Order: sequence, then C-alpha cells, then structure tokens
Amino acid sequence: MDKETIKLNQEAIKKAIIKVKATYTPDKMIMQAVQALNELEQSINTEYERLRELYWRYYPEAIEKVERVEQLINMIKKEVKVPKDSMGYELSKEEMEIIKSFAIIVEQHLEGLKVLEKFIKEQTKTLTPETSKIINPILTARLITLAGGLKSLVMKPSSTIQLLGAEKALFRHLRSGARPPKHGILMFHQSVQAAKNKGKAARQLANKIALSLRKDYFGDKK
Amino acid sequence: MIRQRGRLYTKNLVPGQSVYDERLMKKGKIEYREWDARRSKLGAGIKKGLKNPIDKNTKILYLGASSGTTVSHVSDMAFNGRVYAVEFAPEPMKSLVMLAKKRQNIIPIFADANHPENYPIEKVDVVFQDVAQKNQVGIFEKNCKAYLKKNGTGLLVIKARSIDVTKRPSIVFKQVEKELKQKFRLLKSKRLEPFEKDHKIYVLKMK
Repeated sequence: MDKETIKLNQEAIKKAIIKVKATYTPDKMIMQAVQALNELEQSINTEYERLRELYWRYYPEAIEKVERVEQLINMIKKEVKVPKDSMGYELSKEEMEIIKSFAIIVEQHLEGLKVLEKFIKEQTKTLTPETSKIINPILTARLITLAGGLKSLVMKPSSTIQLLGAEKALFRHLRSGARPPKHGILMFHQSVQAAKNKGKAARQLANKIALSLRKDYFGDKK
Repeated sequence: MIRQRGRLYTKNLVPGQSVYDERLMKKGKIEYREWDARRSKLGAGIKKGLKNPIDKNTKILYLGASSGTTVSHVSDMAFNGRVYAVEFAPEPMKSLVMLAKKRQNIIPIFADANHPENYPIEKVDVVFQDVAQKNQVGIFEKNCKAYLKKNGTGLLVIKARSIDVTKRPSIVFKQVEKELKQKFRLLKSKRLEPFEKDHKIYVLKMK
C-alpha cells in the first residue's frame, strides 16, 4: 500500500466519524427501546407458558383458574399448599426450587417491561407532544419504529400511517387482488376497536395523527 | 483469489483476523479467508461463472458497502489499489469505519449514492453497486458517468423486489436491461439463485 492511500484512508475515517456522530436523533433510542419491548413481551409469553407447564405438575387445579402471569408468580412465591384430593405430584424440595427460581426470572422480566414502557412514554411525549394527546405515546413510538424514524413517519401520507403494521396484508392485496386491509397497528387504539366501521375510524384517526405529527415536527417549538 | 473444493478464498490482508466469523485457511505460509457466496453478491456472481474483475492494483468504487462483508474481500484482492466504500446508513457505517482502521486500502465515505458529486474521489477502474433502492439503475448511471474510467468495468447487482415487489422479477429485469442498453454495453449477466433470491448481476462497459 502506498503512502497516499494510507493518508486518504485516515482522512476519510476522521470525516466519517464526525458525520456519523452528527446523525444522532432521539428517535433512535426510542426505536431500539420499542424493539426491546417487543422482544421482551414475546419472551415473557413463552416463559409464562413454560411456568404454567411446570406448575401444572404440582397443582393442576389451581392453574385452571390462573389468567395472568402476575397471579401465577404470586402463587408460586406464596408456596401454596396442595390439598389432598389434588391430582398434582408431590414435588421434592429441589424440584420446587427450580419452579421458584424460574418464576423470579419472569418477575424480573416483567419489571424490565415496566422500565422500558416508562422510558418510551416519557421520551415520546417530549418528542411528539401533540400526537401524544391523541394516541398513547407507546403507540406513537410503535408507529415511529415501523416507519423507520420520526422524520420518515412525518413524511408519510395518512393513508400509509393507517396501514403501518399491515404490510403483509397490503402486499397480498397488491399482488393477488385480495381484499385490502383496513388498519394496521392503529387497531390497538380504542376508537378503532370500539367502532362499528373500523376502516372509517382508522382512516380518520390516521388523518389526525398525520396532522398532529406535522405540527410536532415542523411547528414552532415551545 | 483461489478456488478450492468449490469454495472461494481470498488471501487475508490482515493475517490472523477474520472479519465476519468466516473460516481461515492456511495453505503453506499464506493465510486465506473463506468467501461465503451466501453473504456476498459479488462472491455469488463469481461462483456462478463471472470473471473476477478485481486484481491487485484495481481502484474500485463500491456503492452500498454496508458493514463491509464483501468490501473486506475486495480489499484482500485489491491490496495495492483502493476501495472507495460508500454507505449512507449510520449503523453499518460504524462497522465499516472499524474495518477501514484495520484495512488501510479501504476509504470509507459516508454519503448518499444519489449524489456522487459529493464524494471526493478520483476516476476508478471498477464501479460495483449493490443498493436496494427503487432507482438503482439511475444511481448506477450517475456514478459511472462521474467516476468510471473509459475502459472500466461496471458491476451492477439488481434486486428486482426493491424496484417493484408486485411484478415478476423476470419482467423487472427486462425493463432494467432496456434502460441499461441506452448507456452501456451489456457484456454478461447472471441470476444469483440459489445464493440470493430475485437478484441479477450485470457486467457492463461504458458506450
């Protein structure tokens, strides 16, 4: 390698570092947090299923009534005694210990979920105050993540916002002419869920979101 | 570059280090890095029968360098030349910069390939492009016009799905070829199956 190449290389590296650093925007961390949230939610679900299976060996009659993770964890931590007429096995101390330590792991994951949600809520509220008045900040954050950044979300027409999260159905429609989707991730909003005409509700909601996003992004900063 | 048992290898510029967890192979005193055709479209093209356009003195403009998987092999082969690696996404750029610190013939450029006038480089022997953009062909034309030497080779990877997902890839490729023939001489083209789905690589010369 000649000296000139090495010099070029070093200069280019310096420039690139400065330019890359300048690309920081707060929405990047929000997007990462949303992805972490999604993954954590998923893993809590599978962990919950496993925990049910484990406890099922011990006290199946109680599992029947459990509906939420927290209930199950509390039950395990309280060391509920099994009545004599139960079908459950009598587990040794070591076996119970395994179930308990796994329950504690799931509990910690739930804790982490709360921390992430709080972070996303606060950050998104300061980033998009107007939009957060209309929809839950976490939903805003999910929209940002799907669009690939706040800027690209703001640039999208409301019809695209309406369908964010329904890409699979949309492209199925475009390719094979199947019925088009009415809403994507916006279906989690109460006004869409409650509406009889869901397509109409989603369209109107997306419209207002698009407007308020533009105010947040381009409007005067207080 | 050498071939052995159907696999491609390039001579390691930085012996002892692998870039993306690829296997290292010693042959005599020289160390080689395995070139995984599944992770590199240029590698896939060469495996499908293209002639390797890069020799030790080649100066190459590489558009869509990403985190530098293929770039590392190009820098192996062009050890006396220069690899101008253009990338516009900040996160992959970070890995590319780290790669360039170890391999001094890589010149990382953080720029939009839509605007070739913005990068400070010279004329090159080879332009390679692998960007998944809708206007892939337009970007390639602009860059070749600005920086490709008269007799230089252009290598263009087309991802049919990012031009139009709803059309069949073969139809997209036909359109692309029609567009390319206005400005280039089309020397060779290869579909990249089974390594990449719905991709085609073109070897071109300026008219």
